Amino acid sequence: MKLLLILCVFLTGCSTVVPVTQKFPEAPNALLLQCDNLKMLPDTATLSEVARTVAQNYQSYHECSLKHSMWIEWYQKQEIIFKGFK
Amino acid sequence: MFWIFKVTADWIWLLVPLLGCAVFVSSWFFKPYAGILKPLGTAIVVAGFYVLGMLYSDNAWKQAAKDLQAQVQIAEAKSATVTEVVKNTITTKTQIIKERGKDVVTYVDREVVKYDNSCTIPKEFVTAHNRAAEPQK
Repeated sequence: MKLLLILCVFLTGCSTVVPVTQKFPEAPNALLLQCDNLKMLPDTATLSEVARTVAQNYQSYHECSLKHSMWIEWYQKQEIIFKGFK
Repeated sequence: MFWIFKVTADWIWLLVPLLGCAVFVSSWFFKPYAGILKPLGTAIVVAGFYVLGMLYSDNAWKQAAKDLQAQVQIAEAKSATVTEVVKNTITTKTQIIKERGKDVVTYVDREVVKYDNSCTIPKEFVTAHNRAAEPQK
């Protein structure tokens, strides 16, 4: 029993933890915003209102598509850095 | 158990095996106490070397932690650079998209508006458009 206790005391010298961790970075706020909903037409829409609404909806699509592409690029690059560290 | 190394200088622990050797050697001069001094000296030498091993291990781990911390800082700096580049790209390209959108709307307000009276949009066209544009539930 005494020998076991002495052995346990000796073995406590062997355990240690290296307190260094890397956190995965936070995404930029611009990438976390939801995409806008598409605009609807009023019942009595004129030709110019239709053209204007379609142009604005295409703009919304381009903005959303840009966010999506940038999100993919940001994530892939951060993943390479994070995995490279390990 | 390693807290003791934080409050004492490393060189102090080198003296422990030396002390053990001194106690052991003293048993040659104090023969009546040789029975106690020899095992005591041996035990102090053994304990001293064990503590030196712990000290070496502690220093090795500290160095490893330092190296890892340096790597983490490099990785965090690279990470921050990537985030900054992405933010700038989004800002620039969003601005371009918005300007193009404005140009199109200006064109519509100037050129397409001339045909408003001559072109009637059927209600079915509006319904089809709105069904397609409706957010998915």
